[in-house]
Amino acid sequence: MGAQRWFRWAPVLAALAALPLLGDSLLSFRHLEGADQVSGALGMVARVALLLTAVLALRGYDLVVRGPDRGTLDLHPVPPVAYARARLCRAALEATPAVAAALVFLLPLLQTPALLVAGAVLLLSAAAAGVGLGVGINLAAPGLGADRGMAGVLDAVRGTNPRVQAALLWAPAAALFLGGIGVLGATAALEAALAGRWWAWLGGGLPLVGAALGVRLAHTDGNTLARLPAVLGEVEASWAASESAEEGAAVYLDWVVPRLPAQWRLETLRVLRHGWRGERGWVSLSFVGSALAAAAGFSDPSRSTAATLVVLTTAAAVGLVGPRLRAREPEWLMRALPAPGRSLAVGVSLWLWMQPVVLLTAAAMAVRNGPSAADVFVRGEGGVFALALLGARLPTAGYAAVAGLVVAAGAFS
Amino acid sequence: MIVAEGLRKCFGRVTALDGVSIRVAPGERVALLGHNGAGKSTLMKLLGGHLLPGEGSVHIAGASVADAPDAARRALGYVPEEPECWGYLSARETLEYVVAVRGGGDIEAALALIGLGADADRLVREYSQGMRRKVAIAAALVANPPALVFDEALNGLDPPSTLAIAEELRRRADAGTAVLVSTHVIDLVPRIATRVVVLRAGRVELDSPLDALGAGGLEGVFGG
Repeated sequence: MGAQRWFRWAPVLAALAALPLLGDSLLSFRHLEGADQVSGALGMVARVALLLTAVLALRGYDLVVRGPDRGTLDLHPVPPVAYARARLCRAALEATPAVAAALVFLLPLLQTPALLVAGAVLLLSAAAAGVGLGVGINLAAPGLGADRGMAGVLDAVRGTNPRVQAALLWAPAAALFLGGIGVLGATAALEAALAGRWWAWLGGGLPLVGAALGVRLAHTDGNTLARLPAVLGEVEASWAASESAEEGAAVYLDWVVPRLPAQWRLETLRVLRHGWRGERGWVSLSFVGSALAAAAGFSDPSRSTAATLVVLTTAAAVGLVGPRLRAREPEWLMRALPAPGRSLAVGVSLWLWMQPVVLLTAAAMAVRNGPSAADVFVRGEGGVFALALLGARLPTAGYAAVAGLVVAAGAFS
Repeated sequence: MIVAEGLRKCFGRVTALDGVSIRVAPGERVALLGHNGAGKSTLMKLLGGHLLPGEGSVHIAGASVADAPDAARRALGYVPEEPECWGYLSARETLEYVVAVRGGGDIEAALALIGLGADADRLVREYSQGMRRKVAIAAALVANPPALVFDEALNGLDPPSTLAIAEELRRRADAGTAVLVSTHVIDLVPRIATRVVVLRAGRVELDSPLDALGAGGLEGVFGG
C-alpha cells in the first residue's frame, strides 16, 4: 500500500526527468525576447494544459463509468448529491500528482513572474476543467441521452446506437472538446493580458466555466444514475456479440506470429499472450520511452547519445519482462512439461516489444534531422538485440547487471 | 409485484429472449429454471435493470425499469450471478451503507441470517467467495424491499446457510414480498418456490405451480 501511494507521484518524477531532455524542443522560447518569448512560453504551457485536461477528463470517465465500485453501486439506490460530491472530490484528489507534474513545467518561468503567474492560472484552471467536465459530462450522459431536447444532436452522431448509448460513448469526446476550447481561449486571453490588456486576465479563468458546467452536470438525479448499469450492460453486450472468440483472445503484436518460422509460432504466441496480459505496464514502457527519446533528440542532432541512452534504458526495462515471466513458472513445471524453443520465443517476443522505442524514436528524429537518425537506429537495434538475448536467458539480478553494461556500451560507444 | 411483459432481447443475431412474460405477485415465490443458454441470466439482468429490453417492459412494484429506474431499484433486492462487494468495507459497514441509502433496515437480523458471526467486522476483501455472496444476499434483504430477484444467488453456499436463506425467503413471501430465484439445483426448488417457470430457447416453456407438476415432478420436466 505504501509503495502504491508513492507510485502515484511518479508523474512528478517523470516530469522532473523529462524537463532537461525537452529543453531544446519545448523550451526554446527561453532564447527569445519580448512578445515572442511570451507567445512561446504560453504555447508550451498551453500544450501541457491541454494534456492535463485530457488526462483528467479521461480519468473522470474511468472513475464514474468504469470504476471498480460499479458492481456494488449498481445494486442499490445512489444518493445523487452525495455521490456527485464524492466523485468530484475523489477526482480532484487523484488529480494532484498530475497537476504537480504539470506545474514542474513552470520551473523555467521562475525568472519571469508575470509569465509564471499566467502559466499557473492556465494550468490550474485547466485541471479544474478536466476534473469537472470529466466527472460531470460522463455522469450526466445517460440522462442527456434520454432527454428529448438532445435527440437531434444525438441522432446526428449515434449511427446504429440507441441515443442513451451514444450519449455515453460521446461523453468523453465532449469533455475533451469543451476542455480544449477553454484552454485555447484562456491561452489567447492570457497572451493579451501579458501584452497589457489587464482585463484579459479574466479570460485566463475561461476553463473554470467548463469546470462549473461539469460540476452542475454532475449533480444529476437518481434516475440518471440508475440508468447507467443498463446502458453499460448494453454496450458490453454489443461488443460481446460483435467480437469473435479469436478477436477476444487477440493481444498486441500477435499478428506477427503467422509470419514467423512454423516451429517458433506456438511458443512465441504463448509468450506474447502471457507477457501482454500479465506485464502490460512493462511492455507499454516502450511507447513512453520512445516519446521521451524522440523529445531528447528531436531538435538537436548532436544529442543522439542522449536519445540512444533513453532508448536503451527503456529497452532494458522492457527486457525485464523475460525474467519476470520465467519467475512465475515453477522449476518443476518446466521439467515436467518442457517447452522446446521457450528461450527463443521469449527472445523474439522481447525483441518485438522493444521495437517501438527504437523505430518511433528513429522515425521522429529522421523527420527532423535526416540521416543522423541512422546513428540512433543502428546503436538502438544493436543494443535491443543484445538485451532481448539476455532477457531470454538470465534471471532478474543477472539481467539487471549485464543490461546496465549493454546500455552504457550502446549509448556511449 | 414483479411484472415482465413481452420481453424480447437479441444480441447481434442471437435471440436470447423471445416474447417472455412473467408475473410474480406479492407473496409468491417463483423458481426460474432452464438449461444453460435458455435466457435465464438475460431475463434476470432485465429485471435488475442491467440490460434494456429490445421489446416489452419490466415493472417492479409498479415502477417501470426503463422510465423510473431509481424507483424500480429502490423496490428491488437484486443479487446478480456474480455479486461484487466493496473489499475495503466490512460486512457490517456494507450493510450500514445499504441501510443508509435505502432508508432503513435491520442490520443485526441480516447479519444473523447469513451467520458471519465475528467475521462480520472483518474486511470483505478477506472473505471467501461464498462469504461475499452471503454479504450480497444480506444487502439485498436488509432493507426489506417488496421484490427480490436472486440470480443463482444460492450457488456455492454451505447447506446450513442455503436452508436458512430459503426459510427467510419463505418468511418474506408470507409477509407479502414477491420472490423470484433462478437456480440450476432442482433439489432446492421445493424449498424456495411454490411455482416454477421454465425457459427454453428464450421462451417460457412451462409456468406451473409446483404441486401441479404431476408424477414426474421437476425431473419429468427436464428428463422428459
